[in-house]
Amino acid sequence: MNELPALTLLDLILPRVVGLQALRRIRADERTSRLAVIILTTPGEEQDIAQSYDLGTNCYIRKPVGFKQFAEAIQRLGLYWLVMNEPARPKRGDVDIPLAALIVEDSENDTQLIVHLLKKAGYGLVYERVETTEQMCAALEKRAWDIVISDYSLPQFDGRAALELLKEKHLDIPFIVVSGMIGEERAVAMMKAGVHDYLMKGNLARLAPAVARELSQAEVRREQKQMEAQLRQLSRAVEHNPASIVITDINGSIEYVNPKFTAVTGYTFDEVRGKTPPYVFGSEMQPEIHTEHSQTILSGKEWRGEMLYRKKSGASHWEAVSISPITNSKGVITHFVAVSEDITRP
Amino acid sequence: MRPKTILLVEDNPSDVGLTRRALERSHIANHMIVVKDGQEALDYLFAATRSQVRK
Repeated sequence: MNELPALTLLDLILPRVVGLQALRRIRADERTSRLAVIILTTPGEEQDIAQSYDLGTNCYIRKPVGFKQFAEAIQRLGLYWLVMNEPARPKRGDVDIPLAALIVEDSENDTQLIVHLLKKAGYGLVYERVETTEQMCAALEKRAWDIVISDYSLPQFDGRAALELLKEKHLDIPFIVVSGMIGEERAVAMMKAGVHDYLMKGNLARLAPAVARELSQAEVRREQKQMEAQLRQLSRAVEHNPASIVITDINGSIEYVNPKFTAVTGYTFDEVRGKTPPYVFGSEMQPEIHTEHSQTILSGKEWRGEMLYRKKSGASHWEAVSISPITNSKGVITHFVAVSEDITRP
Repeated sequence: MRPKTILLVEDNPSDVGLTRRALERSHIANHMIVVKDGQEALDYLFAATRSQVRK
């Protein structure tokens, strides 16, 4: 049975009924008009934000939705009680936010102070103390660490070298230096080398907040990397697709063709770039089909059908084609993508 | 009391993943329902209002 949600998170760009339209209808119906709705936007949708407030959204969050933005939105809306009613909130002494900290430190006492402060701040702490390059290497091999907290100078090791070690291993782990007086110049040099924060041993009140901030920033970096990786995967999927893929701008000028298209039609990308599909590789569609096809895709829907493709050699064959519009963040059609497969029986 | 539901209307799977993680990290253990478009969202909501009336 469907349960009325306490909170709805609504993306603006959606297939079929788009976000703003859905919001309008949620607000128009008295049964749903008072639901808490948070709009999710992508940067560059300022106009939509204004419009979504007009339509009665409670709040908006920019994507990607991170922990911080979400927590802020919840706070702003006073929704704590709404969504935290199955509390996972930490109790004193309970294992809370898990944190694996690698502590580069020769003093056991200083280590215990750091451990104490982090535990008091509510971290479920796993830590290891290392004081040489070898130990640090071994620790890095052993497990993934959320943060490195390093002294500036140790008898056999130092913060600089520890940071270099992370870079060598291509590990993007927040690195905080906790040290005695090292002077402004050295502190600046450390920051330039990539240290995320610098704290003095005499004043560690900032330690827990600094750790929290670095963790959330590291998460943002991770999310970004993930998205880039996804983008790379997608572009590979297009490049290596067994179907022909053609991307045109709104006027039908070709902006991209994948290698399969080149292989099938015999046209190179340079030969078709900027040209319009029907005139280049020649679809011979009935005029009425052409009209129906244009109307469908311009209205934002996908069109499926068969087209006669003419190759560069003059030979022709039938392809099953699906053409769908690509919209920008404002929902305006900017490009079309045509995916097609040869359906001529050999 | 049963935890309240959160409805996420999102068609991009990676954004669904990120949102789910943001919620987890905010210690929110609520049940999350994901639908992929506005029509599905409206269908879900209006079906929910009907089942509430019946209770």
